[in-house]
Amino acid sequence: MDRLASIILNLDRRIIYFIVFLCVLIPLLHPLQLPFTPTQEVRDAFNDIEALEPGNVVMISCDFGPSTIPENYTMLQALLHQCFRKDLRVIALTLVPAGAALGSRGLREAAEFEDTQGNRLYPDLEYGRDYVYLGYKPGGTAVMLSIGQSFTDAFPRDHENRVTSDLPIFKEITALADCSYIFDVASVGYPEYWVSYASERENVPLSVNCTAVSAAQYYPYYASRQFRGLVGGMKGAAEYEDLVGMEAIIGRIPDATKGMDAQSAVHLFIVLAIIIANILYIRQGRQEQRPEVIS
Amino acid sequence: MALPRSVCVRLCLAIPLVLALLTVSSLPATAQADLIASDALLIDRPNDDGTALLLTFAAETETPESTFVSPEVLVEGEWLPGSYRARKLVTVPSQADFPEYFGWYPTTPDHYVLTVDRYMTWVEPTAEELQDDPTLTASWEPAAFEPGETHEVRLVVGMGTDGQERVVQRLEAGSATTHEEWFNRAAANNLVLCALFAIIIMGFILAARRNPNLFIRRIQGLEAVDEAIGRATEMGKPILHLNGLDPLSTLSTIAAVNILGRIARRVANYDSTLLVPCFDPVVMTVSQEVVKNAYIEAGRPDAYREDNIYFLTDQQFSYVASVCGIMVRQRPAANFMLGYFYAESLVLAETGYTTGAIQIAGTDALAQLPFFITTCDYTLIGEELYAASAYLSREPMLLGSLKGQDVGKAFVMVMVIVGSILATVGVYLAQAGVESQIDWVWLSHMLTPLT
Amino acid sequence: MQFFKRQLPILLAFCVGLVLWAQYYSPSSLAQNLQQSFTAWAIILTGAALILGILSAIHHHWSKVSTQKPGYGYSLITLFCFSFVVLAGWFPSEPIAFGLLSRQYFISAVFVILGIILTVRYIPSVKANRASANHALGIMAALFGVVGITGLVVVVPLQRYLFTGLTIKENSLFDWVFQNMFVPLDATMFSLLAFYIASAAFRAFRARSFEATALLISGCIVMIGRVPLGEQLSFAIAGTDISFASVASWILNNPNAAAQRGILLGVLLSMVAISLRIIFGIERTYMGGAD
Repeated sequence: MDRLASIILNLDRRIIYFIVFLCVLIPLLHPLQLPFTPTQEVRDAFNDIEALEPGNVVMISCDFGPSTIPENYTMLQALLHQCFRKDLRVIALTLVPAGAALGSRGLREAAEFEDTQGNRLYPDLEYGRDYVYLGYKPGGTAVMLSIGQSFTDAFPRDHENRVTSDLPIFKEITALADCSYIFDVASVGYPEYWVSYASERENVPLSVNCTAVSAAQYYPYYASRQFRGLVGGMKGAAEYEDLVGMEAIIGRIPDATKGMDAQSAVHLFIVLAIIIANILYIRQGRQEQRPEVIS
Repeated sequence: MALPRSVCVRLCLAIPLVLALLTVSSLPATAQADLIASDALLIDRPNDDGTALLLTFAAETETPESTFVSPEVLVEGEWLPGSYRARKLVTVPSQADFPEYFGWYPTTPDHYVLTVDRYMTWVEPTAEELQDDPTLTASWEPAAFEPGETHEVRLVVGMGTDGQERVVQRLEAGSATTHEEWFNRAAANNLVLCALFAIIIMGFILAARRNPNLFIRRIQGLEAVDEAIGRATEMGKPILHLNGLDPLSTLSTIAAVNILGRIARRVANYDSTLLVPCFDPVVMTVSQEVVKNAYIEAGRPDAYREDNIYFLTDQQFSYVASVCGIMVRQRPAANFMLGYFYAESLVLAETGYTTGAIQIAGTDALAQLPFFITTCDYTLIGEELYAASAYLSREPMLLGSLKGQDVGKAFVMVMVIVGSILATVGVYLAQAGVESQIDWVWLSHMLTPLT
Repeated sequence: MQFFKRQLPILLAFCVGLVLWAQYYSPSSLAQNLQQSFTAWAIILTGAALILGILSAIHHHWSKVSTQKPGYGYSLITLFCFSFVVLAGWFPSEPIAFGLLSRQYFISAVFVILGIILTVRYIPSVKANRASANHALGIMAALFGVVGITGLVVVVPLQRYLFTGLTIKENSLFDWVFQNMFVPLDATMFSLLAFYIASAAFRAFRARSFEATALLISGCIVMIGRVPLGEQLSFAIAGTDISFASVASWILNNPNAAAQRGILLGVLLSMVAISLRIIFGIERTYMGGAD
């Protein structure tokens, strides 16, 4: 028993990595489709978007890179489908260089989505009138302040080099205050800056989708209603997909939802490993304290 | 046969009246009987740059979902739309939603508020524009208000569905002049608190100049800096210092570079090697200057190696891969990870642990603190990172600033406790049905910054 | 000279800091225009700072290649990839034409060869004068300046005839490189985190003290509660239906939020203090640390 305890406590990390690999691979190949209930913070974000009127403008900031596609890109797709289904107009931009191509791809995929018969789901959508992608601009908080003054001054040209002041959407929407909602899909630390430099300044409500790692630090903002909704990690993205009804829209299990089984397996393994290691650790500690009996 | 004059006059008066009666009678009976909006008032929007007016009005309707409102602006004798499209009444905010304009307790909190900052003009494309793009059509173009302009505005109420509204009421709101303000009175509390805090900080700095022996509690991570550098020197291995992944505009990076200067001075004294791979080029330049000055102050300018402080990449995981490579190949004996980190913090800390290095981390990235705490030997949490420069240098001005921060924190703690007690008492009294003249949330209202 | 290196930056920081602080409280058009100008300058400076980093990175890797330090092969690959992606982004508008050497690829090849010839020409002086990193950096800057200006003088006037404009279109070479190389590589690096978390959790989550035990227990509850499995594992206490998910949600919304708020308040107050120190010239780290 002591030998087993010693082996487990000093287990080669490559064995741990291999078990994690299996925990991810097997559920992806054979999904369990465990059901889940959307949490209140995700419902708040979803309900806010649902409450908007057709024609309202949602400004989406795609502040994420390729490394967080499972958490952010999946959420972006669900959000865009919800917006287009409700005839909401979308102005998207990004504050990180790696997000430029991802935001463009996401917007294009959602706007030009075709059902199983090959028909476009949103045939009336027109770029420049119903949605626009402004692309990347360096500066972070400077860009936030700039779009608070004027979108077209901050982004004279969009991601595909069109003059923004010629686009129909910017005849009506001049600055951030004209938007009805801000949604920050972020893997970096921009959400708190969107609060102080954009949402509170221009009096526009804000919700955030962030990585699971960052989600814990944003609960104070959610509690004080500076974030109207908080969609944390892949679980949050899966909940949002469930609320939007992505499975019915795209005709297959959405990506974030698909990853939930693997996440369940890995989390369970880590927790069991921690518990076993601690039991053995405590037992080892007690044995060291016990005096040796000399017969 | 000519009609008598008196009959002609009566006919002239009667005809418009009959026409008016006919027009009114064509409207539904409900629209005639119930005026939806009333008490329309136009005022200058306070605390702004003089480009907007506020139209407030009361509205009562049984069908707010199908009631739409929009403003119209009188321009050269013609009423022009004041917005691109009408708004559904349920989406229009009320005076209670704008404490910065109407105060926390407005006299008419239920009155709706529309912001009027433009009028729309119908613009036809010019011949030149049509030549460039024949597909251009006429469209509504906004003309923004300017400061000092007087505008007459009326409210238009419609019923129906989105885009298919039928006008049922037009209510004049009078006229108002836009005024540009130089000071935002709603942010006065913010200014007072900032000024107060600044005075406290400066006061403590002046006090520290007179009495430099100010007490700071022990910070274990900083006490271990010497130990870490000494260990690296004994083992003949380099010391790795990371400034985080944020630019120099971030205060945690400034704090990290500050500590780098202190560390560099000690490294220069011990004649060890210091590696500083940077994520940001500006941080790299400043780090080079800081380390160079530290070596000069330590009397070892010859030992300074600029090549040891270099820019790697500004891509997160490319940087991580590179730094992990440095750790595994060069096996530094001490790792200092100070600044703002993102998801890569655990990768860096775990790799450093596998190489057997002593690790001191410090970040104000709240999400990364748990990872550093579990994997590093010492962790500076949040503002301990900012306090580090004062702690290591013991400069009176920095110590004084630290004491001033503590006073600020004490003020915040007292306000939070007192405000919570007051608000809780108010809630309990309200639940018990006790009427009280006291405003139990006055403290919260006084301190809430409005922009 | 001392004035420009020491006093002028402090004076600038003081004046600009006070002006921007005052601007926050003024809604006037003058203040708004000032803010717009400063934000535009900040955006421009951020872009310009990239050039500094690029030159530093090139110098670092080229030094390793030219002196053949251990591992210089990796630096050579880095330089090649850097050049390739820059040129792919410079001529991004045409779709990939496999098998055909279109005019812009020919021109880009000319630039690359020109750059290599010029660089090789200057290597002896770099080697001879290795102590002067600034000299080498200057040479690098001049080289890329020459290549860049040549590109602009040739590319910009001819772009109307050669390509449809400097836009990143779908299926362009740059887009292909991003989607098929950068995205998988970045995602791979991030996925390492899962393995590191597993090994770190197994190694470091030990109940050594009361605080460590509390961290351990709450961490396990939140880990289980934040996956669908947590909702399936529920237990009834005193007639209530409490699950890992509900407890995890309570932990995140209450003690976690309270603790994060406390740390955040302290951090934000420190930020105000440091900002004041920078504005009043007490904190001078950004100038290079000399007091």
